[in-house]
Amino acid sequence: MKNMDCVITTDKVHALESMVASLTELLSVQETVVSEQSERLRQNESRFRAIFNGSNDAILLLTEEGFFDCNPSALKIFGIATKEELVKFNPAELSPPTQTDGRSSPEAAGEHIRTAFQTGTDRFEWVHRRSDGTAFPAEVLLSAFDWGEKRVLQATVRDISERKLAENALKESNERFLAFIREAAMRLKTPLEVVEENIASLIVEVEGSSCDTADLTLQLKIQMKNIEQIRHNIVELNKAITEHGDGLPEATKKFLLE
Amino acid sequence: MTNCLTSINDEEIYLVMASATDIRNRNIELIKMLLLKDYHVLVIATNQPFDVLKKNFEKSGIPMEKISVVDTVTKYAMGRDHEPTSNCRFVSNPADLTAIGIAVTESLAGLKDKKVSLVFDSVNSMLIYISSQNITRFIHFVTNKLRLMHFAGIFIAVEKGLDPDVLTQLTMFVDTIIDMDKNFCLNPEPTDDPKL
Repeated sequence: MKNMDCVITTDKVHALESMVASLTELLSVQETVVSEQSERLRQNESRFRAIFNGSNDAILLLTEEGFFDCNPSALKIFGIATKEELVKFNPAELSPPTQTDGRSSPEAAGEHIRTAFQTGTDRFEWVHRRSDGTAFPAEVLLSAFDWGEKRVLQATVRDISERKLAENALKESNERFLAFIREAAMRLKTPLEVVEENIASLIVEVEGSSCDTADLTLQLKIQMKNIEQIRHNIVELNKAITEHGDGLPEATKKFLLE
Repeated sequence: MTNCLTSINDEEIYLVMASATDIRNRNIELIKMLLLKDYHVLVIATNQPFDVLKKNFEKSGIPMEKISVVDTVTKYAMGRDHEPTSNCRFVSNPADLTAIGIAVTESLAGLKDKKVSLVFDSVNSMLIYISSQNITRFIHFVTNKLRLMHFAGIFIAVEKGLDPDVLTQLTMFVDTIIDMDKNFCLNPEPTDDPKL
């Protein structure tokens, strides 16, 4: 052989063997990394799926074309048997024709979806409708994100019926309390003014010696009855206060009701 | 005599307002005006007893034969029946709206063929015994019933200073508001003005 470079020496073989071994090792490491990453991805996917499936809130995924996935809570909240059935609906079809502000549901839903796609998120209160036709108040959070090549919205729907009932009950209770206070104030102020005026005119009559004793006695008796009734009204007011005043000492309650 | 009172029309409901210190005299003024227009006046008295009312009316020259009274306070204050009186019906409790309603109906039945007007004297004193809601319901019920029966005129007397909400409700079913202190008539629109 004239060209010594072409001579395969034992050293070259060793070098190649070493190179192959390194590459094999590298491939093995890479495989391990890929495998670990796949495992992590699988675990993440499994974790997210668990969150998705285990959430008490309805979670629905949608594109501009409509729904394509949902969790079991969504099926439960909307009273729909299967995911395949639910994804056939569009958001407005899961709502009554109009919202509480009078806007049409398709128009309002379209606006919220556009806002979420444009700004990344939109949170609002909404009236949804179950498959049996019953409406329920909900809090909706729309979050936009990239899903592969697609831009997707995650709609988280929370049924807030109980919260609304509690809010309404509190509001009604406050309104009742205010109405009660108002009525109580009126049932004290106006009658006292009436009695005050009646007594004032009796004084004028007595001073002018223009009144008959029998008439005077009768009129004073009426004022006594009026005052008795006003005291009764005060006790009624105190009764309501003590029934709602948890922190009142027993002695105070007793005094108010006597 | 005010010009405002002379312009009252038959079959209308009026809310007559006056200051507390003056309401008795103003009501007498109103009744005298009604008698001049040939009305027979039925007074629902929730503040003054019949005997006192009668003396005050007679002192002012009001002929009692043209007056009927439903007295809600005498029997209650005396704790016993008043001697029977031809032109007065005594109700035993000023809180008993049913009994007041019956007494009004019976009094009106005895005044057939007469041009009758009704005067509630006064809403403020009714508030001692009855809730504002029940008073407005009762007045609404009575005035509606009488309007359907074509009674001549209904006058609801209130002393100024009444709760604006109650006043607003009352103005909703009257045709005209008469402010006796200002000699001022107004056809009411729903309003939040507490001075009305």
